[in-house]
Amino acid sequence: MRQKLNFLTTRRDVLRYGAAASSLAATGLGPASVLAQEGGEFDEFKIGIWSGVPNLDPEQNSIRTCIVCQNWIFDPLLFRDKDTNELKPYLATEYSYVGDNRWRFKIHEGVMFHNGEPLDAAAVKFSLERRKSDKVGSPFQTTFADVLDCEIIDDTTFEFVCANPFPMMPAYLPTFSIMPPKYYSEHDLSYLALNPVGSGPFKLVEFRPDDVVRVERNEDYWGEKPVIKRVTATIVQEDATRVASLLAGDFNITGRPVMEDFDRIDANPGTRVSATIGNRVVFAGFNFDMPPFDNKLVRQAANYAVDAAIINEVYLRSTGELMASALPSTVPGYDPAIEPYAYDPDKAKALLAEAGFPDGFETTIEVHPGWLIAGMEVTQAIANFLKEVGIKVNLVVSDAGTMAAHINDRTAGPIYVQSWGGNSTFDADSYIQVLFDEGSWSCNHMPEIGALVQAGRATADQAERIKVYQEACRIIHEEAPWIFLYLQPNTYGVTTDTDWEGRPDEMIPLYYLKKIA
Amino acid sequence: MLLYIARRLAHAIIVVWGAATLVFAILNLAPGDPAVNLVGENATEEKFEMVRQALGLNLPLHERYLNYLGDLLRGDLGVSWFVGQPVFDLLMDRLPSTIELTIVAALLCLPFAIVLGVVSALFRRTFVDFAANFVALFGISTPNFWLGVMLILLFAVNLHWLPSMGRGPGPGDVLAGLAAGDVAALQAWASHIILPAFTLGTFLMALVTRLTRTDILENLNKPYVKVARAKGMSPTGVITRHVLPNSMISVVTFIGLEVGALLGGAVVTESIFAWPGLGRLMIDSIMRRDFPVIQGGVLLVSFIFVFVNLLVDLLYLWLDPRIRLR
Amino acid sequence: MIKKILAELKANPLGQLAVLVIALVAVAILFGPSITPHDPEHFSLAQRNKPPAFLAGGSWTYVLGTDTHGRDVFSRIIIGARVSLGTAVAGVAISVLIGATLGLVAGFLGGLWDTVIMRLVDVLLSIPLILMALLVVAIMGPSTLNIILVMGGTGWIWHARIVRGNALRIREEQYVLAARASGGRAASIIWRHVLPNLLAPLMVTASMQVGYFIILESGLSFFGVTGSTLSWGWDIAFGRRYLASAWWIATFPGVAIFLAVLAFNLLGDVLRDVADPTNSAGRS
Repeated sequence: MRQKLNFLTTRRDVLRYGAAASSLAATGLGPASVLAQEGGEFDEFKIGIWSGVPNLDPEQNSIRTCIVCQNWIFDPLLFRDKDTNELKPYLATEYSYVGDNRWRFKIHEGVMFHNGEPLDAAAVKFSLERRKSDKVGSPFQTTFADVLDCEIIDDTTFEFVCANPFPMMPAYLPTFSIMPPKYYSEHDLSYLALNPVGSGPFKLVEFRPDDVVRVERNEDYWGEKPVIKRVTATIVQEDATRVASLLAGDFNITGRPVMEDFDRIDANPGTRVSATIGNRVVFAGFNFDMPPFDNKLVRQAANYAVDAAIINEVYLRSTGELMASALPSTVPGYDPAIEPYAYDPDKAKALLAEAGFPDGFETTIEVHPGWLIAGMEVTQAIANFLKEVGIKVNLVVSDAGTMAAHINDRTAGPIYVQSWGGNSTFDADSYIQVLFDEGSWSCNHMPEIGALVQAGRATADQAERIKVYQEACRIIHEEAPWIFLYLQPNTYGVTTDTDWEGRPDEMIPLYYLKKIA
Repeated sequence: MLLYIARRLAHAIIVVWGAATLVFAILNLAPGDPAVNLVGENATEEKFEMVRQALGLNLPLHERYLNYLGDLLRGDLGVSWFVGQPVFDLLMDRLPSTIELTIVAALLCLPFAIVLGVVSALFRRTFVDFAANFVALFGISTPNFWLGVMLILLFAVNLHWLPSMGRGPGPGDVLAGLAAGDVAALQAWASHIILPAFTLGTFLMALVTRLTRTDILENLNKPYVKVARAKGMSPTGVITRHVLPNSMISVVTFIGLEVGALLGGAVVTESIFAWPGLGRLMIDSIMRRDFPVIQGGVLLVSFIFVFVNLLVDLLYLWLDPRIRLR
Repeated sequence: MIKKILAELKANPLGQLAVLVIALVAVAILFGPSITPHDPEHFSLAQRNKPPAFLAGGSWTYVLGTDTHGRDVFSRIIIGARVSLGTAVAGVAISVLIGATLGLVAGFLGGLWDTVIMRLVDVLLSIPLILMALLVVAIMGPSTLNIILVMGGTGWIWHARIVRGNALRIREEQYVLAARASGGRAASIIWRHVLPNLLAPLMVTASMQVGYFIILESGLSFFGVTGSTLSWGWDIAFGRRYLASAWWIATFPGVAIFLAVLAFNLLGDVLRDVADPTNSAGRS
């Protein structure tokens, strides 16, 4: 893994000066950066968004691309550091678990929302209540079910009261937007979907759902002032067009360029690729409800049959990171001691024979290509590897709606290719619980993992939680509910005058972005 | 005459009602729970129930249908499940850019198609005719999305002549600019629309070329043409003065019938060029299972089709007194 | 009839091209697996994205180059004909069957039957086919069967209108009136007198509809809605992401579609000219 990161940071080395400058500036409330002026400002900054943005009310959607745009307008209590990916205070100045299922936070004083309302403890309490309200029906409602209340201590101090220690609390906060209470209680949901008001570095100018988001710099921002005056984010879902637009000079940053175009982007004067390891695990899950995948031997055999290293090398240009179990290396609880399944087709055949399939069998693999980078290519490659050990695989391509319904009804697959980013929490719970516990977003309900999920939630002691999740990872590795593939990189095409690198959390924050002269 | 119009209106309403019922049936009889796309990934059964309740998905089918028709009669198309906006507003927001694109596509391709059609009729069964037919068929034989990507690569990436995607300033801004003597807005508008309009228009060009050719050849055998020829008029003169105006009537009728295909073509073209129109709205909504938007969109498209054809018929009535008398 | 077609073809070079292309496609469909130079699904990762033979770096081993898995583009085009043509032809067959039946019912029975069927035609006509197909196939679940069904379920309106029009005309003709007067059963009248007359116009529309459905299938593939990943449409849709880096992956299947659709349209022209010599627009 280290090696991979080094490979990916070579570009950063070239840009060391810019990177150092921005890491200084990113420490928060530093003085308005002098360095920023060296590169100057972007009057108009253009971003290509790779998927739909239907709605900008943080409590009306859980769509990644919406969250990316909302982050320009709203401030979170905590945010991840761009270099270390660690959780850092943002609106908060300090936070801690104070025992008795309580998390205490202190926030900056004197922060104002764009409409002039003060951002204080009451606004946080309001935002929490809005997330939990049946009337709003937030998709995050279930996630925050264990956060019972927000108790205001004074204007800038409050405590989240939880049903248990809720150790995932901090991890969920980067995507928890603080909203102005008066504004968000005065208007109806339709209005709020189109007209977000936050306290962030940018204010909304225009929002046309699934088409364009325009924001302008918040000149009264409490934090460091961005060097970008105006941002136009255009939704271009067509991969071929998005890359072409970057090459034609119509974008400064665009997400998910086609891997095969990396060389073109780098060779094209004025553009480059930025890639970093992320939080999104890619796997080919086995539907436990469909034989023969209720048989562990068959599942293990498939893991030995597929050469994930080759898939990573060929279709992801080695930008991915091989997985041995369910957790990415970027998440506490990851156990480096577990080795990925080796590519060993003979062993795979032996296991199949032992399971009663000496001549293999026929099955189906289902994919929605849009859910992962090079989705079609990777799925076809998996099918091809399985074919070589005698498992004949028919490929079914589903659209997003069909695939989601299949996973929910437990009728996907029986082999289904999926990716999961853990809601960018980097907390093991949002992988292990969501993917294996009861009512999971998968076809892999594992009762033995349920107990560990509860154990992981019962304590706020990180060291203890790590032990629990490492245990879970060992079980998952052995049980092989998936063909373990890789951790997907976050990739971007960027103009060379833009000092910004892709982040593990899939966000595109712009407040620390600098212009290279 | 009035009776005729009244009958046509009644007919139009029946067609639109039929379209509404058809799409309702497809959406609601299909397997799968549309709520799954709304609840978030690790939702509890309670949460599912809440969402279904809120969307009225728990009601029996006939009740849902009656509610749907009732809302339609009141002019209420419902609220998008994902965008959170009234469907009517969403449609009206996207409609102008699609109309703009389809009209420009038609205008861009029609003159070309008519000239090609006339030429191939004049040079019937010669190499020119075959070549023209070949060019025309290119438009209906090439997948639009392949053509679109190739055009972007050529004109935006390699030549840097045109922008790669998106819509330029609206017609309002263009007119305001022109009024102030400024052509910048016009240029921006034209440079954005030309590639998608051409891509969308190719198939119409093909069909109209072939139609014009057939129609002109048919007319050439009519008595009035023979009379004109007997009087010493040149074939070209006959065609431009007498035949072409007649053929235009069938071309207009034909375009009326192809409005649906133009709107359908817009679904692909808009996706390639990130053109913010109805087509993309429909695709996004189908992929997310945003039922109210899908229903409203199909209804609108069906309505446009019926409306345009009603107009064409009335135009016909006005142009051709023989029908009026009948 | 065959004689007439041959005579027409003699004078029509585009028609000859059409027959040639359709013959090639037929060979591809009939003998596909035994004439492909490579297994169309065989990966050879060392040979990924190889350009076609006539470009620098290409080789005659892979005449039209290879795709991103190192699969032979030429072999895939040969095999892809089965799905692309098969889907379209099956869709057209169902369309013709439904369309002819409903057209006859509307034309001969008239009255309420006619009204209901023609209103149904109007409803389907008012919804763009690609939209309808996307809606149905995405929501019912993408599969080749569903694609064929939606083609048949919507495409029949082409034929129904033509059959109805012909039926209305034929109904009044002497020989039919005579047959009816002499107490012939409706079914036998239709079978003996009506259907033969409908054959030619139906062949014209059916031929053009094959081309139309091939394009439709590729349009569905573009939106990721497909029943098979071994079709021309899918290879273009899949390969379009590589148009900038390896243009041949999407372009050669595109050429295949172009030629096939062109051929079926030209065939339709030929059939029309033969079927309707009185039509002065014809080439006779």
